[in-house]
Amino acid sequence: MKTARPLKKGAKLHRRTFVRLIGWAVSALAVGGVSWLARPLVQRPLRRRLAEDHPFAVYVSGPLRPPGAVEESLFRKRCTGCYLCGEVCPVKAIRFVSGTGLASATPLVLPNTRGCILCMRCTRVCPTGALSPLEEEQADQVRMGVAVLDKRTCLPHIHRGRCEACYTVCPFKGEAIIQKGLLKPEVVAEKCVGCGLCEEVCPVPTKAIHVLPHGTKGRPARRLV
Amino acid sequence: MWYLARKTTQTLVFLLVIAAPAAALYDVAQHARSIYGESLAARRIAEMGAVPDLMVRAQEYIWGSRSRNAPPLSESLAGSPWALRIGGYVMIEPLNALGALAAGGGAAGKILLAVLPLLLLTIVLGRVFCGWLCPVHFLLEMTDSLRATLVRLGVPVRNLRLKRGVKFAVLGLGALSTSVIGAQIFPLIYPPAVFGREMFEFIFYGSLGGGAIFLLAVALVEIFLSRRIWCRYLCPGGGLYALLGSFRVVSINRVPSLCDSCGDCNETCAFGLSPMTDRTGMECTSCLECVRSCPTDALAIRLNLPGHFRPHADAASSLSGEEAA
Repeated sequence: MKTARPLKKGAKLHRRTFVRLIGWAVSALAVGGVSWLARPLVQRPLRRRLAEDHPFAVYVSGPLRPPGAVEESLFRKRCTGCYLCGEVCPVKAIRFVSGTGLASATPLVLPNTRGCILCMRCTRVCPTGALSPLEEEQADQVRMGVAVLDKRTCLPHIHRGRCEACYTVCPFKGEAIIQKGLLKPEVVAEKCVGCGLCEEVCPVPTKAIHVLPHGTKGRPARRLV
Repeated sequence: MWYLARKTTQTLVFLLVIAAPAAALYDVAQHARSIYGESLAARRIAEMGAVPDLMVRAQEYIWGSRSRNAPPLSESLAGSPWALRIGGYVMIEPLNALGALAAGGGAAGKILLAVLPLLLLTIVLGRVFCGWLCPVHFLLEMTDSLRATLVRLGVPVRNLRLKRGVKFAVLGLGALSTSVIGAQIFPLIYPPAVFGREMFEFIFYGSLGGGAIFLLAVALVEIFLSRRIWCRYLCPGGGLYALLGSFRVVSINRVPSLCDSCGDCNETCAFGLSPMTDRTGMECTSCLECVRSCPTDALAIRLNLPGHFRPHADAASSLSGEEAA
């Protein structure tokens, strides 16, 4: 098959080359336009998927990302779905958004099943900078999300027994979770790193403490209580 | 000998994609033992599901005497070719890096450092990733015998030919779309990446995701429409490797005096190239099937330094080499 010669200096612009260039321009514009229109889809199916995986995710504005994650929209640009973070996680706390949507294959933590132990191994393997590297000693600088206590179901708060599960497991006990009278826990939001261990161990079936991710840019996470 | 080396490499990479998540599971079990003690650890391992449980049991058999305080296995080896961790170094594919750069998230230095080995490999050796390292190509090669059986049984399988340029369109428009949307698209449509993820999901969590359907579709198209149809015409990664390897130093060349123009090599080439007329160029994955099939040993891997005889140079500049054949 004869092909059109590429454009050279001083060469005549062949009709076929011209048509081909126009075709490329049109398809680039079309794909660019469709992508531009599809931008809202990047977030929306993810939230629906989260609602299926996580019974309380309807309240949140995005997934709870592993420690060291950059701001959400930047995270979506940087994360290439290589699964290395999930592979090195020693407690299988890192799960991945399922399905075939644009958000699929990005990592998240589902604290109602497994919380993060802040070992920071995932932050050091990320090849594209979606998770910025941290040392184990820097655990207090992590801000994955914030724990929110539901005083309507928390056992000590409704006087249904002695429970200090969340206080015991918290890596910053006494700072992030403090005990008031009668073992009633309170969360200090400024100190909470959002690791989710408290939600994992909470004995209340529907969980009395929830870790909500920090909101995406300009869209703060809605509070549960 | 090179052919054997290729098959060995492919098998090793394939085993790695299976072994890495299995090793990670073993790490999880070890970690659980060191933290929670035997009984709770056993419960945690059991609740992983049937496949992970089996993997841990198998490795306990293998690593039986391994110290409990030894560093985790995934410290030294993890991932799939899409992003592979060897020692403390993470190596990524050029397509991975292109997607990350196209999205405009920054961190370019880190990405370029990670992409360097495969980038240099491709510039020097050409599109060898597909033929030597890609686990999906390895699986698709296995479907060849199935295809041959279907032909023998009289099932109508086609030999479809498209334009080779389509994959460059997929590559370019995919990069454009990535940068406009601001989310990664290539990992969802690039088979090796999907395969690595699905193997991980299956072994580590005992479940399969939507990517398995995609891979199945690729395999079916492969069997019924054309050999390596995805790799030849659609794969964005293949397109990128072909472009990067346009000026490859090593390629498969022919000694015209030895060639008796029998055409066996053209018949064998799964990519529909024509080694007999030296029309291989940047598309050739150096899979060496043609070298193996040559009855007169006219084909071999050769250096292509400037000043050397470069018979394929014309073919490299034209994308439609096969139609002329």
